[in-house]
Amino acid sequence: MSEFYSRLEWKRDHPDFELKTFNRSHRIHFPNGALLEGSSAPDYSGDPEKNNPEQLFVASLSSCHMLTFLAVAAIGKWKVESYEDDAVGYLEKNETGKMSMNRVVLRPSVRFSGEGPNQEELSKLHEKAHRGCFIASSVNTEVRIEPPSA
Amino acid sequence: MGQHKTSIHWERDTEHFNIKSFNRDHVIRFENGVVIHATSAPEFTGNPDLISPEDLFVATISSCHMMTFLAVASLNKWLVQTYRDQAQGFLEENPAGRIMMNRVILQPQVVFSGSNHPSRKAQEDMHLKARRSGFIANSVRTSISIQPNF
Repeated sequence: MSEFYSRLEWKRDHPDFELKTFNRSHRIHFPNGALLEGSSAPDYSGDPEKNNPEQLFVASLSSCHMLTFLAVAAIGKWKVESYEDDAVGYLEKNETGKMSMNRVVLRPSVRFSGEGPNQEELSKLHEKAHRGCFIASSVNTEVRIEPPSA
Repeated sequence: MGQHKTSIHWERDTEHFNIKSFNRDHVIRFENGVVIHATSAPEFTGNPDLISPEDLFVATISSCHMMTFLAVASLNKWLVQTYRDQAQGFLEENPAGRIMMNRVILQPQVVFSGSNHPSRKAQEDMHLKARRSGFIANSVRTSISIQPNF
């Protein structure tokens, strides 16, 4: 259907290559020229100033859920004013004992113009967005949606 | 074991909230202060200059695989000089008819220094080991194919 590309570069910048100390910093380029400075998570000897894959994973889910929610809301003729989400992902052992992004909790806060949906309608919009979200469909992570007002 | 947080913010900047025309651009903030300006993919009315959730998804798989590979290589005492990857993600319908990031192809190119270089077989084995223990690879339903460039 459609294709996405990223290009990544890493270069050793220490003389040795020890597990504890080798530089994790790398660059990720996208075809449109956008650039991300990547590293591993601080727990794994990464640079806390840069983006680690776990953060990008949470960001991808949160962003995709929001974009799908907005589309679902627009189709349902709800006029959304703003949307915020404080998402958190948990790196844990999954049921097979492997480390994975086992759970992600989304906490979307949506403001509507005029009269917005009630709690039940809002939950349904989120459920529909979750089912239609391409990234949510691509992960085995448990994604929970907990609107702050719920 | 580790928590990873992101905050996203979107605000309508079009008068109407029409599915075809509402702004997809939004901001993703991380705890370290890094900001990503994101949008939906161009096929879904996004801004082609910004990063989409699909881009982030491909990047997180590529980045996590690389860092796991580097850790494996370091443990095996191979001295890696540079690592590059051209990653490609395919958004497609899965057999159940859902659109998802069905396949990702990684094309890592690893340059070693020192007098002793791993054989192709040894490199493939290290990629396999990295694939099996990558936290992000363990979190996705996507089929990940690793096609090293030797």
